[in-house]
Amino acid sequence: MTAPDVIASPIHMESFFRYVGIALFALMGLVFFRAIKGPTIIDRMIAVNVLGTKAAVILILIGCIFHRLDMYVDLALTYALLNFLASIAAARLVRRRRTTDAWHAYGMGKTNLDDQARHSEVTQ
Amino acid sequence: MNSYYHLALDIVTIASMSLGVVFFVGTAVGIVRFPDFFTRMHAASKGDTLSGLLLLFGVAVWQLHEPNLMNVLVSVKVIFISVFILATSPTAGHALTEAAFATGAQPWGKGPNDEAPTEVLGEVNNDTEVSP
Repeated sequence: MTAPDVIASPIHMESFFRYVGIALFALMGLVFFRAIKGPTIIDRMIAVNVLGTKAAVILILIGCIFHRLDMYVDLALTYALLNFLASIAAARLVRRRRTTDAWHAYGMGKTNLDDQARHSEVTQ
Repeated sequence: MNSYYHLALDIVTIASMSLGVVFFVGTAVGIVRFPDFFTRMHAASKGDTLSGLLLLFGVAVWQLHEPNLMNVLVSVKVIFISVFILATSPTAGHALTEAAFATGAQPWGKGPNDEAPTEVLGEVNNDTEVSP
């Protein structure tokens, strides 16, 4: 790819991309905090989903900084696709273990299934 | 190409990507600070999708500084990635939320014994069977 070596604009865009990448990386640290500390497994999964999407964006920013966007855009596409597949697979896995025992094992205390069981006992 | 073209492209890129970073600030703060799984999923799905779209749109516009075939093709590819994120990120969010709801996540409410979520969602909770 013939990258635009001389841009007739007074703004240095590569440094702007660098600052945007640094800001995204710092905010991904916050999301990573939720991925570590999250009380349930699905909190960790949504945090990892957000991290994967933003990792694809950061790959494209790296391609812009190094003027090799034609290579990095394929990497970002692959990363976004794998991220989507991982999220769907993890959702199916958690849904398959459908009992409240699994949810108690994941760390959440009271569930709405407990309330519903109690409610059905009262009505019966 | 006069220089106003390049200046306009840079201004559009900077505005779009700054807005994307602002939306991702909202996403990160929402993921860290919200009290419940469902509210966290609300912040994560919407803010993540929109910030990703804006950031990738900025890159795709910046790529049009030299509009030859290769650069336009790369720009179209970046737009394709943004369309892919627009399609898949809400889908993943919906799948994760449905998995959480089927396993019995308790929605956040005020008070120790709030009856409102079970009354509202009681009909939906009957279907906890898994169809593989």
